[in-house]
Amino acid sequence: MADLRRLIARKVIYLVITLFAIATLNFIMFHLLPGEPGTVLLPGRAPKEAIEQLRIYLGLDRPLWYQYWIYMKHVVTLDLGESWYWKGTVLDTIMPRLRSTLVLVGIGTFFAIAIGTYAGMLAGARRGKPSDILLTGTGLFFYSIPAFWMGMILLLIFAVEGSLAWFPLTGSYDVGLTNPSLSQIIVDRLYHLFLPVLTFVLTAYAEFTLIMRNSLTDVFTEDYIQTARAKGLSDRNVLRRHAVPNAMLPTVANTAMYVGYIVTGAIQIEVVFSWDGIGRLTWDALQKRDFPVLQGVFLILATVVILANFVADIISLYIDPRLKA
Amino acid sequence: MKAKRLRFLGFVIDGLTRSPRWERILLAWRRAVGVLRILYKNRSGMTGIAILTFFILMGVVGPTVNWWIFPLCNPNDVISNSDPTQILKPPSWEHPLGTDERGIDVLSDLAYGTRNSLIVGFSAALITMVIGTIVGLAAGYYSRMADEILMRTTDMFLVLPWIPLAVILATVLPPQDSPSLWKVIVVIGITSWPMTARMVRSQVLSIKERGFVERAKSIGAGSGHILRRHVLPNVFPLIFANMILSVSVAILSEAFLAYFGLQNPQSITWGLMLYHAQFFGGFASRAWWYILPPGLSIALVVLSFSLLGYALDDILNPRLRRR
Repeated sequence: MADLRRLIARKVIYLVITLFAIATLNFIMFHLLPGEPGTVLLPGRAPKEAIEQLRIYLGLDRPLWYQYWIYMKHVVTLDLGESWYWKGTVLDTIMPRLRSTLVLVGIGTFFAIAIGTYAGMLAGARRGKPSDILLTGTGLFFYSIPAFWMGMILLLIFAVEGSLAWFPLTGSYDVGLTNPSLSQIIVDRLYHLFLPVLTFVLTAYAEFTLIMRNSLTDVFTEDYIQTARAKGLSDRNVLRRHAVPNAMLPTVANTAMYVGYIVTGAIQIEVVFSWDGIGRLTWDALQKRDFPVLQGVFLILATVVILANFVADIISLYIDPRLKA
Repeated sequence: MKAKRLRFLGFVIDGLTRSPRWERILLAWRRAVGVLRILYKNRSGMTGIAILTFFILMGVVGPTVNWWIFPLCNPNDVISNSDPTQILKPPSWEHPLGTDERGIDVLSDLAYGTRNSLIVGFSAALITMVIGTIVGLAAGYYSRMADEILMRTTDMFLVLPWIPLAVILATVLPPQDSPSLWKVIVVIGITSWPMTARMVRSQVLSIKERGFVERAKSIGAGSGHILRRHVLPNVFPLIFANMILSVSVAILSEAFLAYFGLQNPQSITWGLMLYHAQFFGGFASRAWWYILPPGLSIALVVLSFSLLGYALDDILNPRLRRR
């Protein structure tokens, strides 16, 4: 147990260093910007004095090390500055959108992991048989499809006027609802969620299928599977009691690595469906050249992903004793 | 040096001097032929090669040859080639894949787009490979300290959310506000090397312990020599397989960056086509002929690279061969 504690302590130290490094990276990237903030913030041809005033107001006339120090102080206190385009602070702009992204990602990932792992288990157990080729083949195909194109196709079939038009074309809720009751809100939300989540699941499940299949293939070469067979266990029991539980371990560890990938998929889907989340915000901030918001999105998303990774790391440490070595 | 009969490309070549360099080239050639022979029997690998050949032909030949049946036009030259009377028309004999929102033939868009997308894919994968190999070799071969620092950096880059990072880099890097194709290539290249670096490092770690490295060391070979002559040639096949996989990642990345608005309107790619299709009325007129081809091309090319990459991995990776 002492070993485990030391390992976790080391991981915590790495976590802190990583977060620190990311904040620094963020600072460096935005100080590479050659553009004058005056040209973005001030209308048209602003007088030179106004631009100079703005530079002083933003602290850009101070030495670089001082700017860095102030920036770090603000990051630690979660003060990410004011948005240039939206009213209010960067944090107030990001947080509600992060919530709706998490709803989309949460529901989507749950189904993707459940379906993907199950398909991978079936494929891995029947390696080389037609059902394996079918499952792996379909998986590889869906894996190759860009998430945003998948969304466009689904919109073309199910939402565009003149098609089936079962689902809404854009948005995360109906703006036209007056005085909705709670149940109405929930139904409306789910109605808007359906296509984005479907897109997410279709493009993300294959990742888990491939991981699970590979990991099962690895497990089947182990001696303890041979032993279990020699004891006279049926194939079904070998799979259920010995192979799958061991094959699940790398799946957990790999899932941690794919948190960033999952976020990437979600951002694509949000842009297609105009889902009011972080991805859409990144898109808008890019169009409006709102650099504080871009900076904030990067910092917060990176932090969320790294924390999720950290948690998954710790979980796999607890369930897989081999990792402690 | 003794003159000997040699076989090269299946021909017998007489009287060539056998220099050590020539010997090495020959050995590499024989190995490559051996791999190709195994690949030829690998069904999924051959499927990948077949699909890929089709698209490479389309990208290379398509734009340069004015086809007899369907004359292609250059979609980047909007002024002389757009036709306001032919906007978003469904497929016809004249335009087998219909027309886009500028009245340009979608098949022409697709042929030119194929060329640019493949250029981005291969170039970005090359950058990925070079950075990943250097970092991986250094981390695996040098001291514990260097390994620790490099690998922690790699891990950090591995988990960074890719889209905001790429978007920021594409806005920040010069030239500002004109995302040329090269900028997109550089952005993809410098953000996707960590996977390669990890793979190279783990291979180097195991090769470092092998006998021939020990022997080279004992006769006084420097680390530069060992890395170049003993480690790199042994890792290279896997680096190559990995590069094949990263081409597909790069093509997907480019498509999304273009769709996100980071594109050069002058050089059409599959992603740019989809951007136009979504934001310039492709949906309103249900232009499936405009939305389907670029996406299907992306999916097929990515699939073929994956098939080929996995097949090569199967052949070259000794750990997998025992299955």
